[in-house]
Amino acid sequence: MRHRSTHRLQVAIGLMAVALLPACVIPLPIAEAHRQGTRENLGDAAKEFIVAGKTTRRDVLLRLGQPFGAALDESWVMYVCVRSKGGVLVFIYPSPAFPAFETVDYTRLVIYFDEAGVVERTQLEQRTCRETELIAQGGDVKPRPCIDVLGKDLPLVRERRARD
Amino acid sequence: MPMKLRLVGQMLVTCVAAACAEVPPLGHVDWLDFLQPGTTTRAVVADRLGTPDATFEGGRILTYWVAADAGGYFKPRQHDLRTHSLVLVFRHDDVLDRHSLVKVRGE
Repeated sequence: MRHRSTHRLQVAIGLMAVALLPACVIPLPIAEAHRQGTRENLGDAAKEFIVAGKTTRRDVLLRLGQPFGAALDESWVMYVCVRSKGGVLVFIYPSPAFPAFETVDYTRLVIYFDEAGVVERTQLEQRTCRETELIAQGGDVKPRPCIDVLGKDLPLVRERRARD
Repeated sequence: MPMKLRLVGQMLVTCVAAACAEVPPLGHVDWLDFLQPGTTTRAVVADRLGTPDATFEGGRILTYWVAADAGGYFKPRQHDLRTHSLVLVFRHDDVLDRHSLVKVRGE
């Protein structure tokens, strides 16, 4: 008789666990970190040494190192810093996908050169974005970054000015 | 039984010792000492550092990713080990003119 009641309890606990499974939601913290491949020391100080009309491409490379991207004709080089300020990953069982919410700091420094390899101008962009990513088995659905860190919005080669 | 326990104990000690053993550093403090402006040629650089990670200005400027650990500098095999960017500028006669080692990770 006692054995039978124990078995009933086990079955009841099992049924309760199954009933609660769809509601199994576990928030997991996402730590602060720099995104792979981007540099950590890029900010206003990084461009302070640059003087338009004087600083050369050689000076820029020697001071800032290998850029994250460059034009095919090297008419611009781009340095990027992407830092996640942390967030939360929501683990949902038995969902095949989990949403992740993150706050991300983007910094992009683009340095444009003239045909002689001297700096024409610089463009520093800094933005903080709230991103939602869907992490799924078939492949993650990543948000479009609020600053194009791949530089697809920049010309591949120097834009020729229309001649008179 | 005591024999088995002793064996398990020895295995545990071995595992803990292996886990706690310090990994020897990959870097060498003098790895980049061969770079001497006015002396080092492009051929020597290619021989010691291999293919550059990027080139600029028609190959006059070469860049290499460098990693650093307690032992010194070394060539990183993984992207996340990159800590420095080595920039080499050559003269027209393929002799090193200037170089710099830029820290790209770490404030």
